[in-house]
Formats: sequence, C-alpha cells, structure tokens
Amino acid sequence: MNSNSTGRPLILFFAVLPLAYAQNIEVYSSGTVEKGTTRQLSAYVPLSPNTIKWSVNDVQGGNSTVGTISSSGLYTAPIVVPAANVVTVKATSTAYPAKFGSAKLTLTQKKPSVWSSNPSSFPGGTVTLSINGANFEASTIIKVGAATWTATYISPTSMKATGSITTAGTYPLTATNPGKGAAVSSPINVTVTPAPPPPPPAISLVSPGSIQQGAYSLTVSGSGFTAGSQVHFNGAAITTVYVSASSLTATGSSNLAIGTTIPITVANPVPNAATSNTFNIKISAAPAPNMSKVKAGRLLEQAAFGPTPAMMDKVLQDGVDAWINEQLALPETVFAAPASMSDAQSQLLHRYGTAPDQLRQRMIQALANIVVISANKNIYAPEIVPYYQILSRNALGNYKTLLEEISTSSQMGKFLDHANSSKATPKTSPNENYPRELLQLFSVGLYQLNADGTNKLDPQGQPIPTYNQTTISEFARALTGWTYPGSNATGFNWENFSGPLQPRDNYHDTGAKTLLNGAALPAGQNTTQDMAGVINSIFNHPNTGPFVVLRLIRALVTSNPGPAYVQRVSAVFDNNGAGVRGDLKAVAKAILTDVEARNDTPPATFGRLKDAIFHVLAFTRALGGAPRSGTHLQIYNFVNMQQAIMNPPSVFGYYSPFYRVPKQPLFGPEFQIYSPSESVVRAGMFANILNGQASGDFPVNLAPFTTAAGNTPALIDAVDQALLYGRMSPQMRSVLTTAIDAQYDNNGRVFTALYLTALSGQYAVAH
Amino acid sequence: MNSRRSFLKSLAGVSAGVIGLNSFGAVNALAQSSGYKALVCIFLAGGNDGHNTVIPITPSENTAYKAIRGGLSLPDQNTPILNVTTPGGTPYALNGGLLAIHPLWGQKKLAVVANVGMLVQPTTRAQYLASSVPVPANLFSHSDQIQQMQSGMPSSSGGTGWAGRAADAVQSLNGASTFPPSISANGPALFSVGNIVQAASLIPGIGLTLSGMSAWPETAAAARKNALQQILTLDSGLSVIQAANKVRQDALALDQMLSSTGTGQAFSTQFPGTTIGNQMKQIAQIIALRGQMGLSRQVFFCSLGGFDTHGAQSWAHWDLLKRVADAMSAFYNATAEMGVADQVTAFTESDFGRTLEPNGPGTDHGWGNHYWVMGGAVKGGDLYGSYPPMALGGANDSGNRGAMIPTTSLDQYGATLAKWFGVPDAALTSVFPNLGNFALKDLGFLG
Repeated sequence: MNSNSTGRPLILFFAVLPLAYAQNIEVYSSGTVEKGTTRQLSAYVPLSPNTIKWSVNDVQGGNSTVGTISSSGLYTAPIVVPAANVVTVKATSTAYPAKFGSAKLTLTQKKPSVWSSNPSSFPGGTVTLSINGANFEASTIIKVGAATWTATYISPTSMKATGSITTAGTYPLTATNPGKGAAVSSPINVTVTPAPPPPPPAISLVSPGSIQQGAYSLTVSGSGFTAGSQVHFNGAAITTVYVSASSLTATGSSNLAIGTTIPITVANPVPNAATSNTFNIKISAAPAPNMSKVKAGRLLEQAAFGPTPAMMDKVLQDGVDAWINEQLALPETVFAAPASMSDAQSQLLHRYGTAPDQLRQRMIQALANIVVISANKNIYAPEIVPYYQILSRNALGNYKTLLEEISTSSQMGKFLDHANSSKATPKTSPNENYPRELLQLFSVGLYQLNADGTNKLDPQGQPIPTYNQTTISEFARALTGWTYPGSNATGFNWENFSGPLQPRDNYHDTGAKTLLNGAALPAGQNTTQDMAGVINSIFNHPNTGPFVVLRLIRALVTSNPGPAYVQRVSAVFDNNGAGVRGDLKAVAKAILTDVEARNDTPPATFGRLKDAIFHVLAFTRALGGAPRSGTHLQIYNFVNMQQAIMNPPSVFGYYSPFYRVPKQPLFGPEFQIYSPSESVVRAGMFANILNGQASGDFPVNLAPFTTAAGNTPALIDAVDQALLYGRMSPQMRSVLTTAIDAQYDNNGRVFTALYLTALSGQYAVAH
Repeated sequence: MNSRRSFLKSLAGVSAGVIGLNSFGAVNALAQSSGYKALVCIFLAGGNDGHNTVIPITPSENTAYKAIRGGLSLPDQNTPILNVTTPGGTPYALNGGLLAIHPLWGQKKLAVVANVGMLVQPTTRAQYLASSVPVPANLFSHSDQIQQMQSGMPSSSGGTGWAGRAADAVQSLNGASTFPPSISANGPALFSVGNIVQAASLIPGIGLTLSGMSAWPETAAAARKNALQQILTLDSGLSVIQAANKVRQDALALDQMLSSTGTGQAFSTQFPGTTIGNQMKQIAQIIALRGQMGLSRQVFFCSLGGFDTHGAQSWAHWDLLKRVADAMSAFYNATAEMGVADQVTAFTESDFGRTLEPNGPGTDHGWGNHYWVMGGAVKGGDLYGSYPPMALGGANDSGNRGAMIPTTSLDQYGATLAKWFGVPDAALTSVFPNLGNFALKDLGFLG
C-alpha cells in the first residue's frame, strides 16, 4: 500500500516541494513492535498546510488496547498483545480529511534470549536445568528439542526447567514467550550424554550373620539391587523379595552341617547382568544370643563408658585381650585446664564420653570416687583441675606415685586442710583431717584385711582395727610443715594453686613418730623425709592392695565380687609379675580379664547399678552419639541426679563402696544416689535425648531405629542389640511388642521401644 | 499390706487410683482418733562444733573455754552470742547463727540436750583409757559415726535406721495407709529405713512424674505405661536388677499417690531458699497431706552438710547455723499455721562433736555433742543432760584435746523422742538395742 517509495530523500520533498505534489500522505513505516515498547513513525505530507493528526485503528491518539500514538507520531505498544495483533496507524491531513497515509504494525510478545544452561551436558534421565537469559516471564515456556519442560520462573534473567530425556544426543533449548505474537529465543544446545550402566549389586551385610539348621529368613543389605535381583545361598537361588535398591529379603531352608560357611551373593538379571561380592554367613548351633556381641558389650560396660557402634565393632574384630592391650597402650588424652569450673565440668564429661583412651577414663572416674576432691570446697577451676590431671596421669600408672602426688597437691592441701598444718603450738595441735582420710579412705581402711578383701577377725570374731586415734595423731605430726607455693620461702603462704605444696621445716614436727604396724620415723627427719615415710608406711601396708582392688572392682565390674576374685587381683597389686607393687595397668587388666568379670552368664549376685554419669553417657554412645564439646552439657541435671560433676558432697564421694541395697545383704554403692526422685530425673534425661530436646548437648543418631520402625520385630531387634547386646528376654519382647503396636506413628514406635528399654532394670544394671 | 513389696505389687497390677482412694478414706477416722505426731531429724553432716554452738557463760567455765579455744572462742568479730538461762539460773549462750530460733527458748519450745553421743554403755575417762568397757566402733570416723547416729547402733553393720524401726513399732497407728511413713528429703538415708515400713526419698524440686509417658491417642499412652509396669516386674534372675526395678516401681507408685493429692500447700510462712530450707518446706508440705494420706505417724529426715570445719571455721560455722535456724524457724511457723506445732518435734543430730582444742583455724573430730530439740511438745527453755567441764584431759575428755566422752547416749536421746512418738516401752529396745544399759530412759524434755 505504501509501496510507492520513490527513492527520493524524504526531507527534500518536504522542504522544497511542499505544494507541488499535494496528493498523497505516506507513513513510514510498517513492521513489528514488542508489547510495551515504542516506535517513532513519520509522515510525508506534500500538502499545505501540512498539519496532520495521528490515529490507531481509526481512534485518534489510539488507546490502551491497540496502543497509543502521540501528536508527533511516537507509537507506544499496549502492555498486553491484543487478539488482533496487527494495528493500522494513520496520519490524516487536518486540512484535507480525505487525505491520509497509513502503516501496519504487528504487535508481538517480548523476545526472550537464552544465554546458558547449567548443566549443559547431563546423563539421560530426569534433570533440572538452571537457565540464564533475558526477558523471561512467568509464562515463558522452555523447550528441549520438541518437548516442553516444566518451567519455573525465577526472575527476568533466570529460570529453572525440569524434564526427562533419555536418548543421548544434542538438543536445541529455546525459551518462548507464548500468546498472540509469540516470540521464540535463539536456541542454545544442550547435550544428553550416554547413560552409565546401572551399578552392579553389592552386599554390605547379611543379617543374621549366623543361622540355625532348618528354615531361615535373611535380610540382605547393600546397593544396586533391582526388582529382578536374585539372592543365592551357597550357590543356589532362593526365594527373594525386592524391598528397595538397598534391601532384599530372602527365605529358604538348609540342613548344612553346623559350622558350615555359606556364601551369599546377589545376581542382577540382563540386560545389566552382574553378580555381587560374596558375604559369608554360618550355620550355628542351637538358638542362642549372639555371644560375641554380649561379650563385647559386657566388656565395654566395664572398661569403657559403654559401647559405641564403632567400638563394638572394634572389640568384635580384635577380641577382648587385644582390645584391652590396645587401650593400655593408648596415650593419655590431654587434660586441658579451662578457666571456669563449669567449663572444667563439661570438659570432664565430654572427655569421659569421647576420649579414645576409654579405660583410662573409667579409671579416672573410679579413682575420683576413692581419692576424692570436691568443688563444694575448692570452688575455682585451678583448685580442682590440676588434681584431675594427677588422676589422669596416674590412672594407669603406679598407686604409690598417685599417693605421693595427691599428698603434695595444693588442691588436696586445701580440701583436707594439711596445707599450713603446723607442729603443735601451746594452743593448737596438728590438723588431723588429711591423715585420717589418707588412712581411712585412700589406703589402708579401718580394719585389717585378708588378701581377699574380707576383714581379719580376732578370737571373739570381731574385726581388728588397723589403727587408732593415737596413730592419727602421729601421722598428723608427720604431715606438718607443708604450705602453698608463694613469696614466703621460709614461712607459710596463703592459698595458691600454681604448683605442688612446698616443705617448711621450721613448721615441721621433728620428733619421732610411730606409724602403722609399729614402723617408726626417727626423730630429726625433715618435712620431705617424713612425707616419704608416711607414703611408704601406707603404700606397703598389706591392706592397701585389697582395699584399692575391692573399690576398683566395685566401680568397674560388680558390686559383689567373690573373695577369690579380689584375692587374684590383689596378688597382681602386690606384684605385677615383674616385682612391681601398685601397678595400676596390671591391676586394671587383671580386673577386666578375670574369669568372674568375663563370665557371660553371671550368677544372681553379679552386676553394678550404673551411676548417673555412666548411664547417660552410655545411652548417648549406644545410640551413635557423643556429648557435644563446647556446651555445658546439662550439668544441672547431674546435680539433680546427686552426681554433680567434680562436686561430690564430701570426701566420701557420691556414694560409699559399702552402701547396701536397702534391706538386702548385697552391696549396691550406686543405689545411694538412686532413689525414686533420682530415677525420675534419669528417665527425663533419656526422654530428652530421644525426643531431641537434649540434642544440643547429647545428640544421637536414631536412623537405625527409624529405618526399622515399621517392622516391630526388627525394631525390637535393633534396640536389643544396641542397649542389651541381644539379651532381651522373650517376655520383655512380648511386652514391648504390645506397647509398640499401640503407638500412632513411627516416631512413637521408636520412642516407645528405646525409652521403655532404657527404663528397665536390665539396662540400668551393667551385668 | 504388710510389706513394701506387697503394696507395690498391688499398685503395679491393678487400678491403683481406686485402691488409693478407698484406703485413704477408710483410715481417716482412725488417724484422727489417735492424733497425729511427727519426728523430724535435722542432720548436721560433717560434725557440728557443739562447743561453739552452746557456750558456757558461768564465769569459771567461760574463762576456761576462752583459754582453750583461743582465737576460735566466741564472741568474735563474725559471730555474736545470744544469752539463755536455764530455769535453775545457769547461764549459757547460743551461737549468733541461731538468732531465728533464739526466741523459742524464751517461749519454752526449744531445749538443748548436752554432750550426747554414741555409747555402748556408760563410760568414764578411766574406763575408756583402759579399754575396759566396749565402745562404739571407729569413733571419730565420719562414715561410721554417721551410720551409727542414724542406725542407733554402736557398730557399723546395721541395715536399718532408728527412725525406721520407730515407725515399724507404731505401724498399727497408720492403719492401711499405703503412703510411706518414713520420708527423707535428702536422698536415701539409713535413718529412715525400717524393717517393715516403707522409706522413701523425696528430693525437693524434683517432681516424680515420669517424662515421656504421654502420647496420642490415649490408648498409646496407656499401652506405654502398662508395658513399663510389666517390664519392671520381669524376673531377670539378678538381684541388683530387681533392686533397680524396685526403685522405679516406687517412683511410679509415689507419683500416683502424690498426684492424687498434690503437694502445693501454700504457707504464708516464707521458707528460706536454702537447701535445708527447701527440705524443711518439703517436709511441711507432706505433713499438710497427712489427712489425705491417712497417716497418723511420720518420721522425716533432712540434712545440711559442710560442718566438718577443720579450717576457716569462724564465719563458716555461723553461716551454717544460721541456715539451719532460719529453716527451723520457718518450719515451726508452718506447723503452727497447720495447727500441729504441738504434734511435730524437730531435733538435731550430727556425726559427732569436735575437739575443744583447735588445730589452728579449725577443729578436729570429736565425740559427744550438744543437740537441740524444737516443738510445741518440748519442755523448752532448758538444758538437759550434763554440760561437760571445759578442760583438756578433764573428767569427760577421751584424750587431751577435748573430744568429750558422751554423758548421755544417743539411745537415751532417741528413746525420749521415740516414746513421745508413741513407741511402747516394751518396743523401745527393738529401736535402741542398748537402751537397757542406761538407767534413765526418758530424759524428760518432751511431755
């Protein structure tokens, strides 16, 4: 229509010949306009006057549907492309209304651009691409090849698209803004790489690891299983049920001989035929709990703060003796010295729960309840921590060194008042506190003992005192003259915990003293010489072996050891086999390897009620967790359980080694801090550990239980293995089954199974 | 319903709530007809220094006291003394830490019993030094003397406490009530354990309601609870496991009883927020439940530690006594509020006394000690027993440092309390086996 382009310069006609050819108006020019954008039009008006008015689709000035045009010919496209997307723009002479010119404008969507895709190359399957470009809109369509993918608009320059494509090759990826006047981007290429072959099947575990003769049912765990996977038992295919890519179950029956090793494999079918590794199981004798797990679990309740899954595996792999030897050889975990008491308390708990040298940690805990110090008097960290460093350093060292170091520790010097104890003055006598507890609680005890830990009796059947009040006074005199380190080199210094106590001979009683069994310290000895004499007197006393051994056995293994057990270990205390007395490494080993400790079907009197620290840490460890470092680990709850960390009520510790189970002949030291109130606090700790409320301090991993949650026998098995090492009784299983099956969901089932087991006496007692 | 075991079985098996309500209702009348009485032991753990708790003011004795005690003698810059006089006109003074209960002396609700301790039989210095009479085992040892003062037996082998045995002796007065009549507010205590009655430990601030037992729907919660009760009764074959189960059974049973009555008794009396204050408040709250529990006789134990003042004694001792006296005063007021001030008697015990002679800044383990008794039934404002002469190596000294041989035995002190409590004369020797060795069996401070 407006094709009569003359090739003449427009401006020339306008300027030179305004009136000569006054017939036609021409509008420049037709074309496409994206929605919402503008286009400047111009008109050739060979008329005089040459004034014109502009219209769109014959509406002067246009409107928002078809677009607007200004008096100077600036067309603005509408923001929505109209159904009739070709509009006519006219310029009409105001002087000669019949004279007009027009142009046709085609309105389009905005044209998107695609710059890149991430990834641009991927294996076949379902994939999500991140696409960068321009002019993306909420309605923008992404096509890969001919297929439209599910697109998600993020911003005008960013989209995501998800689709599935299997055939390898190169595909154009375009973005389209759809609708009337749809606009398509230029393509970019994405590449689908050839799919890798599916993974071959692999077996990580076959459970149970041993079966009895007859019908069996196996759970095969691993990876790469498919719906066609086939379990082979001793080379023969057996009935297999596909559960998931990581789990199969298989059933069959076998009469192979007891002891036979049976290879288990999994074969995947064509087109990706492959066979797994071989996992061996065994045919075992009569039904019995998994004794090796019982063995390992029992050992780790005695020699560690309970098993962790990894430590359990380690014992199963190494065996009892090798594991104990490894523990005895481990270097001491460093005992740092934090500035605050609460940090020191948390550090101790964390260390008990996580240090690799677990046996040393158990010995520290045991010794800390024999040679006791407490934050209830020594309230600042430097008044306690160096003492625990002594315990840690000597826990597997020699008991004599331990006695020497604690007796000259400024921490103990404060706690039991022998720091600054002076020889008698006209108005005072030497302080009797430390000598009394050193004899009564740290070394020889009140009564003369047989090597088996029982009391020696006089002809009237009465126990025979080891010493009397006079002995205490003599020891008190021998221990005078010690003071804190400090500026006064000859006199007494005020409290200072920067190093061990120092001797001050001018405050020392230099008279002769009579110690145990009539042994004498001669007159004229200095402070240090008398201290050495005191330590020799108590360390070499025949009571000290059975005294210490009985307490260690009660702390580690059982509250009611047989006298023969005590005697066997006392003999090791007296002589480690190389002529050394007091070797705690040899003593610990003798305690743990003794036939009474290692008897996996123990007598009715066997067992030790777990103390609160042990109970909480062992529960955390058994559930694959560990106390977190750098937090305060709910120290207040241990106060409520009457086992305030580093803060027993007195020099008698948290509980007496001679506390009896109420109204029973049996000893049960830990029952002294296990009343109904405390049992409820412990339960609260377990509940919080399980429901996540304690996860900031005692995080655990419940995945092995939630995985099994839907299957009650499998869930009970998992709990039994983790907490009772396979010793749960059929009655308890039956009771638990009823409770678990009454729960609403899997969380409730897992909680019920673990919590009720944790509350059982079976779990409360190491046995 | 004779034993702990059977009572727990009955609770574990059937609907405990119904049994509880019936029995509480049934025994109410009996409980009220025989009146209510309670004994409350306040144990000063570590060995309270009696010489600086009750001080002689008679001039000659006070001079001797000051000479021997030296820098530890009172009053000093930390601790004033509070004068008291016996009806006979003998002046003494109480440690200024006892300020809060000092007025009760004037009101004749507070008495002192002097130089009490463990004895097998009356013992003189000469007899002791010659070892010619039997004496308690392991004198001066904390653990042994704590055990003996609580067991009431001068050997260290007793498995029951004298208060538990006293509660055994009056068990019939408690009818069919299933609530334990012997309660420790300080963890398990030998003092509270009887041969028959149940002892329980209820620690202040620790609820007995087990976490993790609620679930939806209600049937799920019920199944959990039933399963726990069954698990706790399974026989594992190991005694220690049974004992651990027993503790948890006790907790379930006690929770059931307490939650059916509540312990929220509000007193207008303010108790101090100290450990001993909290314990005595807990005891007062349990006393408030006596009617609902159907109990007419209860024994209680509470304790404060820290009395082993080998060093830095001066201020520390005042502070410890103040905590005890503030708690006792609040407790007395609470019993008055409940109208049972005449029916509740509180008394102190400790491991032993301390040496009259200092070791420097503190004192060492002694033997005889002064104790005090408080309550509306006390014939107060008086000192009972015999106050020992202030002399090292003197008539009552077991050596030469002033570790005094008791002139009144724990048996006599305890029997006076037990008799008032309702233990028949014939049964007193089952509570205190050596009581027969002492002529005076009632010291007369309760009436």
